[in-house]
Amino acid sequence: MSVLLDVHNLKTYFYTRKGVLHAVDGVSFNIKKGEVFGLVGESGCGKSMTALSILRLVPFPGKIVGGEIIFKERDLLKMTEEEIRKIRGNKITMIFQDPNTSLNPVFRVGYQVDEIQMIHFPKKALSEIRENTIRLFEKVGIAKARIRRNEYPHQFSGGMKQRVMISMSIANIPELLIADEPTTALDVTVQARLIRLLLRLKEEYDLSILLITHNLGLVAETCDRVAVMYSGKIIEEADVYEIFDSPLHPYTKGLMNCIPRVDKDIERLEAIPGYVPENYGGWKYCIFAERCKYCSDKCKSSVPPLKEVGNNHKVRCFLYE
Amino acid sequence: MLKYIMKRLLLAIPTLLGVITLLFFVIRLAPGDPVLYILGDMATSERVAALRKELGLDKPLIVQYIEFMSKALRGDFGRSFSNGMPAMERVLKSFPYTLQLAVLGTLIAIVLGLGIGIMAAINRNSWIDLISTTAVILIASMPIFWLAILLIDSLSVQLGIFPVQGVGDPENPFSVLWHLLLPAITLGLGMSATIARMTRSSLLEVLNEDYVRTAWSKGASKYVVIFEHALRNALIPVVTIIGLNFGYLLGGTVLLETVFSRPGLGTLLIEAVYARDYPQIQASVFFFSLVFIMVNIGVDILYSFLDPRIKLR
Amino acid sequence: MREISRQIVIEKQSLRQEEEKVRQSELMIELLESKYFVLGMIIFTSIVLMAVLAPFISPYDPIEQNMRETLQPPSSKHLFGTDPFGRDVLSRIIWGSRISLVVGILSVFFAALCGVPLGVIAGYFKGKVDLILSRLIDVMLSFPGIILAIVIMAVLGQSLNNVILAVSISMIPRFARIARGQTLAVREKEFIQAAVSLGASHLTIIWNHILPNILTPLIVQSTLSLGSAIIIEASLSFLGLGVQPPTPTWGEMLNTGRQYLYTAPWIAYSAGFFITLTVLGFNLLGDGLRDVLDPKMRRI
Repeated sequence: MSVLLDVHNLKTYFYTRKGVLHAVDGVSFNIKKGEVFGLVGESGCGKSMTALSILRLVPFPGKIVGGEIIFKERDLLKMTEEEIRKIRGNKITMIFQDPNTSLNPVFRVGYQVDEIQMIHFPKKALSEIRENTIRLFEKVGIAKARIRRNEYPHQFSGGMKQRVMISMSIANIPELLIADEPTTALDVTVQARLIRLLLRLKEEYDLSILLITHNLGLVAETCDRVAVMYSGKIIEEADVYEIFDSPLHPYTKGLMNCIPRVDKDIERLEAIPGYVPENYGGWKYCIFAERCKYCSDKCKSSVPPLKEVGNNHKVRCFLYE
Repeated sequence: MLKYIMKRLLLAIPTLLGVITLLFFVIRLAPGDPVLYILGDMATSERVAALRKELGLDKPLIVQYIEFMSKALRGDFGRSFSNGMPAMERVLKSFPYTLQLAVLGTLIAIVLGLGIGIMAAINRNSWIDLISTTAVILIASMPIFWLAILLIDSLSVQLGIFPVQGVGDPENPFSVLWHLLLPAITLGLGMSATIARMTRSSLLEVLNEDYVRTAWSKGASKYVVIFEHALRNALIPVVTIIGLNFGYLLGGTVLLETVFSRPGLGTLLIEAVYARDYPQIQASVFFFSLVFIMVNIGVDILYSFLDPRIKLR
Repeated sequence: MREISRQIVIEKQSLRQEEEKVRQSELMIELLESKYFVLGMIIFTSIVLMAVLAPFISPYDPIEQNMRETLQPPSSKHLFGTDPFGRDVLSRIIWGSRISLVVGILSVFFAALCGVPLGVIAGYFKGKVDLILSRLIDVMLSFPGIILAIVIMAVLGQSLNNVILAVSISMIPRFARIARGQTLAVREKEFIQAAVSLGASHLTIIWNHILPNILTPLIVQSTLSLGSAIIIEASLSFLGLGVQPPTPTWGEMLNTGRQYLYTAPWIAYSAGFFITLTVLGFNLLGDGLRDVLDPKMRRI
């Protein structure tokens, strides 16, 4: 499979009163055509910022300070504002976590999906665009699409609003869809249906998906490959089966132990003691050391590199030197 | 929609009744006898009794109240002590001058305020922002009549551009407009300060909202994001502020009519106050309240057009 | 069972009190960092000093007339010149600050004293009580502030007390409205329900739980209202409806100054400058306080 998106040494820093937060601290990965790539981690690990950096939507006081993001042989980070606008909503689209706040409350939902088409295909007839929106609504499972397109977001439920967002994101048939915790704010039953919808659309349009989540169950169901992030860096990356079968990094192992499993006999769920630290000024040593039961002196003195240990499995830990 | 307007109008009635009641009792709080004041100390007791009877002041209070209320609701506030004309008639004659000033002043305030607020928000923390914020907070600290004096001194006295007072020749619309400009600019400038501040902070808040991020992610241009997506939402609290500050507008109109010697409703009120012309005071204040209540209803309706989430109940 | 829950409540209270102390000192530091607050404080203190020390720093008697020195431009003898009665403008400015500050502070105080309980009761008890009280507030709100003040002065006659009364009454609605809105919001919070379930009386709940939580926007509103009060007083004086001459007030000086604008601009300009400066000080204070006390309303 060919590589669609190649992120190389991405650095996004936040300049705050408390110091420089290295939200994304030298992150590298690639997404192949037609695959679902999962970016996993707890809140604050930098996965959302990585996603926003791809489309250069990093909010103030953040700034992308280094790295390259190669998409179709061009570095997205070096494009002009004009050029990146042509990519946003067109070749690379994004759906966000909270559907309740992601739609503009004063515009009708139909118009908001029309708009994404009008922006990138200004010559297209409005009637054609409006029909297309109705078809999209039907495809994502919004009943009575012709009538409902004239309603406002507050008249839709959370799950329905997310469907509108999904229809918006596939309207121009993108190549890469970034989904930032698309189901976190929704009921479990709604979650399942929306994920099935996303996978169906992926097959139909041959999409690649970058799925950001902290839900390992979701990862298991949907992803082909996974990267685990911690405090701004990727600490493990592998195929999905590989990472669930044999997690290498102590953090990943800890994450696995947090969830109940059907395929294993577990007496109790272990929690990882402590909490994810904020990465001010970059890692000076392995930042997971304080929470790690395998921590050694080397871990407290230098930063472990991300190393490939065979089988397309990479890990950032001195245990595997 | 029609139902809502009807309902609000209905609800306004008790408020109006309250206003009329207040006017009735407040006037009676005045020390001194209005009859003696009109006739002077030298009046004979027959004349005093006669006037008292004519004004209905000899009847029991409750009767006076009911008579007052029923007349007031028909717009009859009696005759002005100053010139004998029906008080409400004088009110209606002066109102157009006040209306002109209020309308033009509001228009100028909105254009100026929105413009400055948007500019400051887009160029946040730049020198444009700093200068406009300083200017805004300075103007907001000035009494409107002081602002008027400053503008008069610079534009009328020193530079001789605008006329200092009066309303011009009522037959000549250009003359009327020319005399209206400086007062309207003063009013607009004074009101624009609050609008600018509210616009700036509201827009900055909205620009941080998720749906604006969605708009960016769709590939929309800066213009579309700010003026279509953000502004529509940012204007909602601004409209509220304009509505809330309508009282300031009316108050400002009263003061400016004094400064610019315009024969509007405000001047009528002030003169009535100087002359202890109670019927005139009552009629004028009642009319002010009426206008105020109507404008508030109008603002609420406008509000509902801007925000589809608001259901007019 | 009651003993245990009471102990828990007491422990929580003392913990909260300690947290409060820490938070208050943090707040103080933040306040001092705010440029607006500091500048506002400087202006405020200067004006207050000017008012308090008036008898000592005023070069002349503000109401002493001197018909041989009328309408003199600023000079070393009269730093701000003289007015049409030969009175020293600087002295009148200094003494005028007393009226402005006294009216301002007392009006806001009384307006809050009446308005806040009104609003809290309306918001707390809701239902019929709210309906009646809200109508009352609406009636008061249907007069623009200055017009209400004008009518009151017209009816009661001119004196310092009446000015304070008039300005207070015209500002009661805004305090009532904010207090009501805030009370409605706080009322629904869970700790109120907790207090009710513990059997606290209405008065206790209002005093201990509601009032502390609605304090912040009320404090901000008070500081901003000080500026409004001063402007309303100046407006009344400007119209000749304020405190009687010969007591010097800035508003009356502006009125006189307007008539002599061409021949003696120093009268108007000094009065106008000081009114603006004082109100500016209060506005800056209010802004600074708001930035620090209420992060949601922060100047972004």
